[in-house]
Amino acid sequence: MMVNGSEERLPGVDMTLDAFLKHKGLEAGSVVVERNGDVVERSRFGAVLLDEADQLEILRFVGGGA
Amino acid sequence: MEDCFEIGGKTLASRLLIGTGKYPADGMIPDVCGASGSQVITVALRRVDFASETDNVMKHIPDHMVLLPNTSGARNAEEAVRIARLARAAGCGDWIKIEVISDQRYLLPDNLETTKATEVLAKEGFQVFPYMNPDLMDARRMVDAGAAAVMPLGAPIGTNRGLRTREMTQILIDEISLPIIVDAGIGKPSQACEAMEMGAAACLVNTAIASSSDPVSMGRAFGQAVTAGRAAYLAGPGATRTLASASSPLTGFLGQGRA
Repeated sequence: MMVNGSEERLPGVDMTLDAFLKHKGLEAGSVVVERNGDVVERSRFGAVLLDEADQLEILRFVGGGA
Repeated sequence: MEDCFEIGGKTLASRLLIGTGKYPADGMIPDVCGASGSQVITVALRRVDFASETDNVMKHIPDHMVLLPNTSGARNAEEAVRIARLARAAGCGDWIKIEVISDQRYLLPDNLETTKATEVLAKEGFQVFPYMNPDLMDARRMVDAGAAAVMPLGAPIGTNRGLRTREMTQILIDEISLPIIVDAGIGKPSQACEAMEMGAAACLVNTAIASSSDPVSMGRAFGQAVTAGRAAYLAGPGATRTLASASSPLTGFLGQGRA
């Protein structure tokens, strides 16, 4: 699996996106996720089963302006 | 009559927009919000860095603030659209500031790609705020693409150099029916005040506040400057002239003979 541009092994079988975020120490409410180029709505984090072929982008808001 | 600022489907009292970047400590953001009176604040979206524990900037943003996520980091329209969709998925509303930058030296916006992204996102129901180089024809294209406002730069991002684009920005103010928000480069409250006197609808200021040695006081000063400039614009300045025109009576001087 590719996560934010780095290769990573799925830490378990039948792992949901929600469980993966917890495993990474992330609060689901503080991130947004793109899976294989499509936005995953937060309400679906618990329903999405991850696959070794998945490409994930996990982002969060940071300071920025002009 | 109260001078309300209608933009992006909202009615605001403040015409100062602020950012969340470059503060010495994010913990001062609530005080800057309070002191400046601003009601709109920008944020950026970045990959989570698993190697370092980063503070969550969102916890410092007061609930009443309208979030204006930007697409900084996007190098073309496609990337800007991706970032905008992700930002909306975060559940923070449908406002998006389009920033498409492929020039790393001056961080100047790419008007063509910005217009393309504006068109796609406006059709998807976003309130789109394109950051742009002040060109009248491009501004018109952004209006046609469905923008909610047009955001010309005053000077390159983070330079604090003021209204270097004054003439071109004035043309946008005069010719474009959408609110013109001067974004980037404003370094001092006097420059924000001038933009407002010129008829800008609002100013977005981040670096000048965050890089001040007292961001809370500087935020307050910018809030006051924007209010003053807006009031002056509404009042309408008096005419300028070359020769003096006395403001005290020219009669009744000491030593004059009786008439």
